[in-house]
Amino acid sequence: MRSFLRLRALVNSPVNIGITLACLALLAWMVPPLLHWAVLDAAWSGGPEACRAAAGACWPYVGQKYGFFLFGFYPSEARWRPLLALLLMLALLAGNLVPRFWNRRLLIAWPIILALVVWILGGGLGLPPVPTESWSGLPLTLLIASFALVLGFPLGVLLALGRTSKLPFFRMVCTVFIELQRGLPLVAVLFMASVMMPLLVPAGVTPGKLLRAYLAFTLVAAAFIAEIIRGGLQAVAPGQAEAATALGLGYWRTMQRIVLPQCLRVSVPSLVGVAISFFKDTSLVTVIGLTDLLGAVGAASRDPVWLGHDVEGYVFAALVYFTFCFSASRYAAWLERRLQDGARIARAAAVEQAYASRLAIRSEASTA
Amino acid sequence: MANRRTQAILAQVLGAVALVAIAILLTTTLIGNLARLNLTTGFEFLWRPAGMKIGESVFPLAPSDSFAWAVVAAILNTIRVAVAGIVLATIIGTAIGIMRLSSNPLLRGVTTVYVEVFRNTPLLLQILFWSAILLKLPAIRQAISLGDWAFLSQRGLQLPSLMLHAGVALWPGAIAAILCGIAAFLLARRRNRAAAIALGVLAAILALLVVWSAQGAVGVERPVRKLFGFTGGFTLTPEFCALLAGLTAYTAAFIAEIVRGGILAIPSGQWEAARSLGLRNGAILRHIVLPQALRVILPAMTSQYVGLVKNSSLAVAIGYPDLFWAISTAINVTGHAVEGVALMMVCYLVLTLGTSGAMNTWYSRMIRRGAR
Amino acid sequence: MRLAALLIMLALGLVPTLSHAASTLDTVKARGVLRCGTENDTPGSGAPDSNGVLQGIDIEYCRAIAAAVFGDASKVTFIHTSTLNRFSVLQSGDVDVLIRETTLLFSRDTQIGLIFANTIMYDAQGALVAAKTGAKSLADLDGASICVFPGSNSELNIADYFQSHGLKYTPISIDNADALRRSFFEGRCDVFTGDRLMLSSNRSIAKTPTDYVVLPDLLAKSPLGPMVRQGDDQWLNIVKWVVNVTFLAEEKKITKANVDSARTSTDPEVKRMLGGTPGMSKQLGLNDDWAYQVIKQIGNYAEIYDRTLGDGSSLKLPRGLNKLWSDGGLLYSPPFL
Repeated sequence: MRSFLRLRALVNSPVNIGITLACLALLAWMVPPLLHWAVLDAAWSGGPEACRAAAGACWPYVGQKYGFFLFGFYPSEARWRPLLALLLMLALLAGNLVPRFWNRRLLIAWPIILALVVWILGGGLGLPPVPTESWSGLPLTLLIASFALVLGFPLGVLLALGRTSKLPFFRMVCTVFIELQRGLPLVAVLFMASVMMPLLVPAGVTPGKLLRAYLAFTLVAAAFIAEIIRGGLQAVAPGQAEAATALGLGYWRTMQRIVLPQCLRVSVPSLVGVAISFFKDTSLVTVIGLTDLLGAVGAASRDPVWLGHDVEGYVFAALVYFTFCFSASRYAAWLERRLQDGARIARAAAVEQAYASRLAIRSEASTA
Repeated sequence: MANRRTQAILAQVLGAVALVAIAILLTTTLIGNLARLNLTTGFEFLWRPAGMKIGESVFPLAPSDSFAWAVVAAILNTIRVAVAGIVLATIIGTAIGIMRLSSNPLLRGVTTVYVEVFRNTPLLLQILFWSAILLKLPAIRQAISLGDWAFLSQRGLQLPSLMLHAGVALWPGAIAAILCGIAAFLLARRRNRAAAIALGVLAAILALLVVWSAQGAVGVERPVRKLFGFTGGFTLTPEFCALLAGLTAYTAAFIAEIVRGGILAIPSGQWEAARSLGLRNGAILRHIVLPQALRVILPAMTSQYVGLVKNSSLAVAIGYPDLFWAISTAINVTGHAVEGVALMMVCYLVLTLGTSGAMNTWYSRMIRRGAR
Repeated sequence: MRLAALLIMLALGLVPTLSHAASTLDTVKARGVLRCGTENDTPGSGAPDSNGVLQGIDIEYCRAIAAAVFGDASKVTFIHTSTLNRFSVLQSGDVDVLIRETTLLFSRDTQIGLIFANTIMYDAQGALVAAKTGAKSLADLDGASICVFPGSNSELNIADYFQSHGLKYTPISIDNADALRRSFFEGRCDVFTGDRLMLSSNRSIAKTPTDYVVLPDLLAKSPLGPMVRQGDDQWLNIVKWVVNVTFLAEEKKITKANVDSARTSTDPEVKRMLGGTPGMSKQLGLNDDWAYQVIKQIGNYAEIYDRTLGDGSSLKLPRGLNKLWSDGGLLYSPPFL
């Protein structure tokens, strides 16, 4: 019945009839060619010849190359290593999604698992070493995004505290740094890191490209995280900090025990938003010559045997990115609702309690 | 209390010392490295002939012109694509944001799919996608022609251009007409109706005179198809179009969400009150809801606009000669990394801080006017 | 706390020690692997084969240097560089040597703190066009769109050519071999210009190579060779002599197969080259048998060329100028004495 009512909105007024027709026309214009390309006229099996004969997409290309798409130039005999690294990082991410796990142990899990991932990918200590230049594909994408957020988060908190600090020197330095990082395109920061960093370290030390990418992403992520934390700090009632100070707590103690926990709770949905945008932005590392997921898809299209199927590769990449980003954004929305509900329940509980106590007082009064 | 004050001063002094120490450490390393690598420093390389030709430029540019001119052309290219992108993304984004609130489920569905797809995939991927699509357009010989006035092909969109073979009298007249028009507009806003009408009439007369004197001097030039391209007319290159399409579609998806949120933030009582006054939905949206929503929307829009300006640097992936492309090419050709990076930072900061500064000024003026 | 660490660093005088760096050879030896700037997207110069292993003439020379330094041609990491970032990658010390079909130019040899060793391939800049355009020469291409790598000397030469002939063109420059190649094959550009090695390589991976022709125009000479940083003569010498030895080996008809027996050759120059005079390469910082290792593991120039560009490859490029001086070419190694 309700769905029927909803459908009635398609035709319940002349305007809606017009809109419906226009939408149908748009769909009729877009969907059939897409359907032909992706399904009806596509090649589903066979080799390059079958693809050349087909008018639509060439899915055997994706079937043949998905290993390369995901793991890129990583030595193909050792693919279990990037696969394991990928699974570890996915498990870590999944663990992060559950609010029940938000505690100190999770904070420790991040560096440990990332170190483990770096070891699995890079080798040493029993595993054959693989230079960072060969790390590529989806594990690299996740690794760069994770590093940026894990290192950028503490830095961002410090920057936010600095920017809201009462001490003018720290306020100025942090403000300049944040605005600088936010005012520059990420591509430019990446490029600068890749060109300038070797000139800023002692001769003989050569920071790899990956390290430069970490640096650039961390700095930019820190600036964006700082702004979100600053917003969260403003949302915490000033009375809280004042009360803590009145109780004799020092600045760091107040922040650590009273203000930051409340601020972080408010900021989590926005932080997920930053995570999503940095996950997408890791695709920019191709500019400095690293091969992430998108880069690997591009590199795969170079195979002379399978020339001309780059669009299918991009569709694959788009699906992977979409799956991650869409689910993360749904998650953020869910979390936001839950936090609001949580706040409402807490408020309601407080009101109830107050009401109950008033009742108790009144009954006491009446009995008296 | 004094103790706390000394602590604060001490902390700041220590911070300053640390900052200076880091700066000294980095600078000495940098200078040492530059000397070791036999790299010269200084901005004089900017005056050397660039040697390279820039694919598209607002003003004529020869390969013998200096790097400085190439950078100027590139900055104008960045501004061109950013301004077009901001205008288009705002229009499309606002429209889609409103459509997402439609009562029609089909329209809601279509626009939701649009927003989710474009928000949740990387912009770089989208730009590469648009670029690939534009390469699939017909070759020049099979260009889609619109009555020989405009052509669409792999080489982009060719449009007729307006040619002004202006006489001497034309320019002062045109400028006077425009000035009168602006004055009339300003007076009209000050509610000085009589003077505004008088000036407006004057502007119209001047404009008519200009058009009359310019008869024959104003011509329209059509693009003409040649073997390897078009001459005459006005060209939107495929690189520009792909970048613009990518920036617009991506940013519009975010703007749509901002607009939707802004409209939803207006209490439904406003709609009901306006409806009871007999206003239609479109009128309520235009006159009551959007002006109020604008206050919620504007700050978020600012960051979208700044983001668009910054994202225009992805031009490098498809070869549109923008600021990033030009300076990174100059750095790699001349080896002047430090100076080039400094120049790049300054240019982008001016563009992005300028954008957010302009938006903030507008916002605070709007708030002030609202308060009045 | 961090401040204290920093002050200690300053106090220990870490800053001055940074400026006098170790020699390139010491750095390479300490690292245990050579870092070589190459490319991974141009068959013939450097591109993965069907097993994902990089192959190409530039790759071979990287491996030859590793063979000379370590006695093991596999001790090399290949760093992909683009046309645009190749010099900064070498300047910054990211790679020890750049072998990436780079053209020797006056400005590159003098102005950017880098220096060329010697030429491993005498090439020329040409132009690739679609056969159906019917163009016989670049001069037929007034108004054309031209695909060219940004920051390449080809970009400068094509500008000169069109300006001096009073012709117009539109450059399309993308710093990504895949994207540029796609632009050309999909018809966005009428012309692809660059070194003929690169053009032939691109033609070879077209869907139908015969649809494209390399025009007879020679826009500029293009000697391609390895580059190193200025100021390290020992390292420059190593790179230079590894290349010379491949020429000399061809001249002396020493191949991978017969190099072992050649060690007992009666030719005194061959004996010297293959390590018969102990201590001769001491100043170079290499083992006595370095040249033997190069020939044994990589081969002489003819073998390298045949594998990567000649009849043994998919490109099948004739050797042209890249023949020994005694056969009418330009390859000429100074005597090993």
